[in-house]
Amino acid sequence: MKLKISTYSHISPSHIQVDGKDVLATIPRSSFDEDTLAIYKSLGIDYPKFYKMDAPSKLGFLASELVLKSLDLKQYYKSEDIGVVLYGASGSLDTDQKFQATIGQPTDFFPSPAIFVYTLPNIVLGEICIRNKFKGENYSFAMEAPDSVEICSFIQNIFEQEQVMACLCTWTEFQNRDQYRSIMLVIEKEECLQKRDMNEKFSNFEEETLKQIFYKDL
Amino acid sequence: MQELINKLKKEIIEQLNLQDLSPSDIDENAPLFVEGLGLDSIDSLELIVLLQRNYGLKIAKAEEGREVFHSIKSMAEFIHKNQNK
Repeated sequence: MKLKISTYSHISPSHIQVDGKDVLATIPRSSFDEDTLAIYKSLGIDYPKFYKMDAPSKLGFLASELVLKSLDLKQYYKSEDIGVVLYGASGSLDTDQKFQATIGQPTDFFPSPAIFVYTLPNIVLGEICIRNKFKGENYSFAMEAPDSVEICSFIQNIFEQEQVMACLCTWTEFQNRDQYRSIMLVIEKEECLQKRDMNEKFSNFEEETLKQIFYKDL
Repeated sequence: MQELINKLKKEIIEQLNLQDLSPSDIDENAPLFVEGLGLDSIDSLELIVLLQRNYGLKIAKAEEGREVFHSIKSMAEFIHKNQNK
């Protein structure tokens, strides 16, 4: 089965890109919080829950918005057939540390419920699925660095097993407010894209392409 | 009382990350949940923490919580009534 990358986005301290091209160039890059808020506003999103998300969720959420803004997957697939597969190294460590700070001192012990609910590495998946009403399979994996072989093999497998008809595959890694990166790929079967009579040339979903996308500019 | 209401508005905006709002946008008589600010269950827990941390007050019963967290004004009244007990 031949899989294609129908679109992808990339957000890092130095990039806001869709399909390898810079977008939202007018946003002056300053800090994670200001940048993510500027992206949110530039995309014209009205989703107040965004403000409550932790940093990794904001990052993954915006990367998904960048690709889904111009591609309504639910127009072509049932909600139950759209999956999300998340890869990352640090998971929710940044948020875990923030939560720990609310319970670290016996004299200042006020555990924050709003922070606690984000102390799960796969919470970004939930945010994307809730926002888009995706109800398909989702998976979350921790690995030190993007492993193109492993990622390709797994994604190929879930398509062949008909667990998904389309999926978002993301490397979302948030270490701190200076080191973060989310790459969000939309993967679809070539035959589905052909049925849509798409003229664009899509990249093959294969190890070499993934390496180029994941390791570009690193 | 109005000073306390304004202080509460600022604290709630900060605590609940209501970044799109300023204190003047919030009607102190409007319901905090569902309508009005549209807060959710996690927000209600954050408000309980806010009362404990900033004012040293605890909500003893769930029924009491419903009354206290009806609006910003009802929260302010609860603080005013109980803080110096």
